[in-house]
Amino acid sequence: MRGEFAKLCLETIKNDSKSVVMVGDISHFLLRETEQVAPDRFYNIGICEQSMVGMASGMAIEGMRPIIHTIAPFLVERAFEQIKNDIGYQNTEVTIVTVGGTYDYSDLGCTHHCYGDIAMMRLIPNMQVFEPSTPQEFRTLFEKTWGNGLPKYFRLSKEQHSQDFKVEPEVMKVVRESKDGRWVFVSGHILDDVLESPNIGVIYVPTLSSINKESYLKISKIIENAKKVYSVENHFTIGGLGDFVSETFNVVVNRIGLERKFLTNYGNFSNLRRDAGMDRQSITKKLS
Amino acid sequence: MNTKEMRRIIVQAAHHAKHGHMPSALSLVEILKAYSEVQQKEDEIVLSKGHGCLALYAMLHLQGHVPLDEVLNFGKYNVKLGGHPDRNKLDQIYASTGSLGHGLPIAVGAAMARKIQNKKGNIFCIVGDGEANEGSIWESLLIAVSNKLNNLIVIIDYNKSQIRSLEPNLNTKMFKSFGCDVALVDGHDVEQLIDSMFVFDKPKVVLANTVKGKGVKEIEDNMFAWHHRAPTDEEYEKFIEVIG
Repeated sequence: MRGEFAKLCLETIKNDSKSVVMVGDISHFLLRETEQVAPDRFYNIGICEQSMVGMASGMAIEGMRPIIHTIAPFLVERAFEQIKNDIGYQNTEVTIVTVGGTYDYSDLGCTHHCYGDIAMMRLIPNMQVFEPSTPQEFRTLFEKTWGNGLPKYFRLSKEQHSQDFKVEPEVMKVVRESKDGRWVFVSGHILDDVLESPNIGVIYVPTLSSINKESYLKISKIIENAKKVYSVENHFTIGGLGDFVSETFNVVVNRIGLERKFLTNYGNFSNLRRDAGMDRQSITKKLS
Repeated sequence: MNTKEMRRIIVQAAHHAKHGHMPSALSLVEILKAYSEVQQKEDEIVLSKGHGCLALYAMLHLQGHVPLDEVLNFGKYNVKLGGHPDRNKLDQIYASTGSLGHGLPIAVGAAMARKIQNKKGNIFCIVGDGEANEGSIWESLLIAVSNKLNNLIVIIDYNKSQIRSLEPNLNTKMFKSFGCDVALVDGHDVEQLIDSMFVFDKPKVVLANTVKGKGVKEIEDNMFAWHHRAPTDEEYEKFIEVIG
């Protein structure tokens, strides 16, 4: 995903003279080609996330299209009020791209975890919230929304799913029909894990802030007579996919995700998934 | 533009609308008067201390951008001018501010965008001394220096409002050590302000010594009591008379 981000930055900086990329002292090496191509439109701004957000807003007011990037907790949590006021309220076209959502940086401890970024970004009016889970999905969602005038948030996870289908912004994707009348909405790489559960219908959700009318009508009809509706997200059960589905379709959603607690162990990603009850076995059990 | 008239509008609006940060606006009057004198077509101003907006609204009215009625009814339901400025409601408001420490980073980004795009015009930004408690002010100043933004003029409205909590002890040495050009001026002397409002090869900081509530002695002497208070009818009459 980070590789795709580097490609998209490079292409965008080449194709759109209004684009500008700012990073908070990460991914500098990853984005070196972007810097080489347009040194006047690439800035490693330093470790000052709140200022980077405000600056991006000022650049957008001046007609530019900034992309800002760093690790999720440092941008979403630390600079939340700047994102709310300077990007959301001013309604400026700034694209926020983060890595390190949930516990991608598992061994670095809770300071580097971010279990609620989707919820926080969904709280900001005007913000479009995306969780692409393959490089191709990221490219599609990024390209189709670039230049739409709206603030945007992309959460890039370290993991990705292995399914091959096309996505569209603001569209929920029916990946598998239900055989038992139950349906599960899922976001992120754990789609693969959810598909291990037999019989249940699976709907994949890469846009977590809004849904277009056509998709809304289609999904509404599908789940109209559902025996049970679930959500599975690698995120707090508060404020994320489960809430989005529940408020959109006015249905009771059985939410599978992270409890409201710090995951204080270290180790690798799999270790923390197990701690969070979000490993494949646990998800399958919860969906059985 | 007449500074007495600006002060009268500030007091009149606070009285009429029954709210407003009068002292914070009164300290800004000469700064905005000077800005309006030097302002070029392409220049923009960010009022980072957004609560001083009554002075900005008075200036915009006297420049012919908003009718007096709009200013007097600021903060009422469904009007363009709020208790803090909103850029999406009036074209002449460059940035929406209110929460402190946000305006300068926006101004720095705007100045940088102008450098990138070879666009003319300076970005002015008014920062309060209370606001200088915010780390984002110092971060963004450092970024402005690092990127050689010689189209950014930061005016510090040093009205000493922060003596009751974390006094920032602002001085020219501080800003010079950051790498800015610095001017120390009497913030109520329009000529001094005008002479300072230019930029050469690095970001400029104009440290303007001001008095919170300037022009109305009773407010000057009780700046904290008056921070967010509207005058009664009797006080209003008295203040208008004092301003002259």
